[in-house]
Amino acid sequence: MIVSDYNSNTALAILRSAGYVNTLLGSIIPLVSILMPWIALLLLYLNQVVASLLAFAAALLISPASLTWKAFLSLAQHDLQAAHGGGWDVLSFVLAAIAAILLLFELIGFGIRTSALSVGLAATVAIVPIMFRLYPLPASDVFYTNLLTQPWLPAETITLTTHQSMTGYVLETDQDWTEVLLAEDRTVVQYHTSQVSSRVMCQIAVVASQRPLFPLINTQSELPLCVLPPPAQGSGGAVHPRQVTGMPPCQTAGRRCE
Amino acid sequence: MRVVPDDRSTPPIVLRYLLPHEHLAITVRFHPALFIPPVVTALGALSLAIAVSTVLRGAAVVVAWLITLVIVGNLLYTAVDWLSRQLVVTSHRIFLVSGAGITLEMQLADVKDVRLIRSIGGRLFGYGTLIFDEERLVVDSIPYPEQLYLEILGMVYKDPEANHDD
Repeated sequence: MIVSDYNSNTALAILRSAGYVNTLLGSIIPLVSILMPWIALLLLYLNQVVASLLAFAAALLISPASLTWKAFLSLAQHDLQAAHGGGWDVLSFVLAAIAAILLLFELIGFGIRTSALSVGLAATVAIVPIMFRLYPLPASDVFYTNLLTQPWLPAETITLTTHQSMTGYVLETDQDWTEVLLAEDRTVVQYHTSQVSSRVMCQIAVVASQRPLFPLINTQSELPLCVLPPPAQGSGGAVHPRQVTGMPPCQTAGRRCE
Repeated sequence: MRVVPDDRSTPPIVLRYLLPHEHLAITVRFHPALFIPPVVTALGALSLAIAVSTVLRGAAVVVAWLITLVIVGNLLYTAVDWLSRQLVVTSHRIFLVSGAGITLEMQLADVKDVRLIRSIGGRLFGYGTLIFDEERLVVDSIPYPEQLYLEILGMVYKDPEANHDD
């Protein structure tokens, strides 16, 4: 529903074209990367230290962050330079020293698992504010709205034989028809496959900026930005698609009618 | 050393669960080494919260202090729980009592074997783990472990020639 911009007709069209399983998986998988930092935090509070560490590591690699690593470091340096200690830093240091000595006893007496949990829980005091900066809360920030409204399919710049091009997500294609979810207005349209001259994968600008803190593969430089918005349709020589959602069917020439 | 308190020092929470014909033999709190993990966490959290307050501003600082409050709250809860939790051995049974009631119980007559395990931490801080009947009842962080072990063992394996009026 989010992907279809809360249009139930479009949602049903996507469901019909992409299939129930693909739609379900496609809806859930992006949520995993978005929620991963918070899952890691939850695991830590549930005493699952190892699982939590793995989840944090995964979050650094897959969860979209609001800052790049360099920007984050620069911000941290700026914050440290602007620190206003005023004697509190001495108290902080003394408390940390006592905690470190007790931690040594804890390590000997209770083992590494209990000690790791103590350190992890204490560290959340610093980790959570950093997480708020890197991974804004899903319920309160437009950061995730942009991300969630993107379909799980790759965005493509589709060029027709008439040199008309638009950005969309190909839901289904066969030898006769190519079904496309248009990126701009989120309507599902069908083109004759013979009228599609090229399909080039691209990246939506707003999503391209939301990358993990440590991206393993830098695809940003390889994929071109998508062309948005698509050119106006209906002018001379333009191909008229069959609009599956958003208008009554079978009113435009060149469309398949059922 | 015998750890057999008289009725005046027996906590009311223990007396609440004693049967009329039951004689209290041992009542003991758990070892205060239990406080080390929550104290480490609380001190670490306080230290970091102060450090975060000097570097960041706004909602981040509020969140940091809220988490610290929860962690310090956990330390207080541990303290309250420690005050109310007791290992109790009577003439008939062994049980753990806390504010929530009796959490673990075993009849003394059912005890076939008692084992004492002392980890490195236990030897360092002076606590041990008592294991009754192949882990049917495991009581960790017991202070004076050797003394209590012998005391309980003496009750389980009674001397048949001993005078019952003792």
